[in-house]
Amino acid sequence: MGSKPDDDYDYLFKVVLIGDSGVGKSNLLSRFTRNEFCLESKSTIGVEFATRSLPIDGKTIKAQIWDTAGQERYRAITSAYYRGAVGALLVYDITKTVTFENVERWLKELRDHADANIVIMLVGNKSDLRHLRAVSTEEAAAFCEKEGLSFIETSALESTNVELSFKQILEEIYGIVSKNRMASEEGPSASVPKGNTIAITPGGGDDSSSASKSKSKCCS
Amino acid sequence: MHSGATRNMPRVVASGRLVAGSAAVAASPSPALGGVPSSDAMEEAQGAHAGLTSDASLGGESSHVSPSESRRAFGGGAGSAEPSDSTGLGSDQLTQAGGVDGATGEGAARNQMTDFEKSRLAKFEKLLNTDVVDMNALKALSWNGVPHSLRPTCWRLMTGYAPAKAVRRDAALERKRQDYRDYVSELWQISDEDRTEEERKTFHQVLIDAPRTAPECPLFRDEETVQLALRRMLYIRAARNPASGYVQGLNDVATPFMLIFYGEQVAAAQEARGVPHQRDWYAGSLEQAQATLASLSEEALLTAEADAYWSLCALLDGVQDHYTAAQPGIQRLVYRVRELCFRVDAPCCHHIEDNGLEFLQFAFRWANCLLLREVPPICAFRLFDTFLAEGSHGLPSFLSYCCAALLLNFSKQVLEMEFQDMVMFLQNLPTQDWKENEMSMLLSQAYLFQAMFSGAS
Repeated sequence: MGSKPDDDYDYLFKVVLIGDSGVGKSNLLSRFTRNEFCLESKSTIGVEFATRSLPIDGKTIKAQIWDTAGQERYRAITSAYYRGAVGALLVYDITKTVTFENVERWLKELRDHADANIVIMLVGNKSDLRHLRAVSTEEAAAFCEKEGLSFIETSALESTNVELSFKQILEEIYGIVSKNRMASEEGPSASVPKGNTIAITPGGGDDSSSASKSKSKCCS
Repeated sequence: MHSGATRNMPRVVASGRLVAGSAAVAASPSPALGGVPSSDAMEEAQGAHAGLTSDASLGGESSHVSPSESRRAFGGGAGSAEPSDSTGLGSDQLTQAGGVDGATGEGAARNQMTDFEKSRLAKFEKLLNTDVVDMNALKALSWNGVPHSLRPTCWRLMTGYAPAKAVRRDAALERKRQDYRDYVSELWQISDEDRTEEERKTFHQVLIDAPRTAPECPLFRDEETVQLALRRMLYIRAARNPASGYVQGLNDVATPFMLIFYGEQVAAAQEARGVPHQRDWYAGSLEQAQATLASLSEEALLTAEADAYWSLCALLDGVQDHYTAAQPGIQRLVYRVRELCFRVDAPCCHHIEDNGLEFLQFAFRWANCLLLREVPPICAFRLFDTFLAEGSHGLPSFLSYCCAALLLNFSKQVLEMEFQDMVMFLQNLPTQDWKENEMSMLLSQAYLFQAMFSGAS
């Protein structure tokens, strides 16, 4: 394939960024992948893509991140991208209660369209706006405990916990994948062709690779 | 429409250009390219664009696709493009008839114009200064770009917002502007309780999106006037068209209209004070933009907003189902783009899909924002000249030809990329420094596709 060095990786994980419009999904992504933040970045239309590699446990993990548009009208388009995703960062804005209240609807979206074993992390963004906080850390943490989600608060603006949030979810995915791999040496992660994502269920690789390899699915 | 073009289709096929796709179209110049056509001949050829000069052939049509331009627009990408007049064709004359960059006042601008630009402007003026504007002629002429100073007038006419009949025009416009003022008080200036849940959602969404509209353009950083106007326009349109409502990206679509119609008011106010008008008045600092806006009367501001509103509505009329639930129009359009591209450049398309990339993953935004996310304002104006000349009902099909042309413009680069680089490249095309010239080339290519394929698929 003639890969450049930074194209080398041991694992490729597809992760989606979801959540209400304006909570800062695109800025979390640009902070993580390019260390950039833009106060007035344009709204995401449909789905946008970025990538970054991280070392975890001596392995190179490449995160392929799909940043989705938050507006409800786009759900039909964006939910198609959940397929094959092994992780989801579900983002809300700590200064906007409604974006936290909508988290349940987003979880339902994931249940309806994503792999049942997808790793979900709830991300309370804009933690720099302390004086405007409307959702307490405790409330969100309690919710996550109940739902079995990981939880973190971030500030894409101040670059707080952004790296950590991605790192944690990738570690969690890696943990599951490597456990699966030990359980089944013939599992899908034993040999992953480039361009394909890994499924987190043993033997579930077919679905995810067909998602990224499928042809002529413009109207699916 | 385009009966003339369709009739010419067999010629294209017969010449074998169809088979080899866009590169061949560009690389095998027709006999017309041999000579340097006169301005009038050029005009004739350009008339063919709108399919209204029935005897203009595609050979004539190709005459403004000079070999040097073709190479850089279709083969080498636009990044390294330098305007070249080596053919003597005066590509800039052809495509920038719309304006003199950074014009210093209308009179001075006129003095700086080339003969070609002057004659083109005269043609527009002649058409417009009639009792009943010949709309077919206006659209045919506008397809190739409208002189910047005449854009407000021509756009209002082409959207159908202003009547072709001169005697009716002022009264009709005044009535529509009053209608808009009424919408503002009836639909916008009401309390939240009086809005439906859907309307509250829209209200909230445009509140989020207005500040992140055209962030590169200082004028749109103005909250008090410009962002408020944008929110009102988008909200009112959604409230009056609940099926499509507001979809993110429509804020982008509104921006060229706002720049043009605010620009018209700015130019008028400056002219009244004897201050030279800058064509790119919106591109300075926020403070400059605000000072300029502050010099306008309330009425002038509202007139510009109403004009932008009605023009936006008219343009979107033809693409209603692009923005309804599940956006079927866009899905259909992207499907058509894929089909077209496969017919023109199968190797490129196979390469894209073999890498696991779907057309929807990059062409969705192109279609959703009518390509406005991909090009700077100066190109947006040029793009809208043609969109409006096509008419709102021709828009979905013409847009699909534009999207195909855009992708295949970069097929050489795409062929060298794998999945990841390809997605990122196609989502951030090197088109942000495009000028009108590149935009015109793309539109010409789209026109060729239209001539080849319309009615065939």
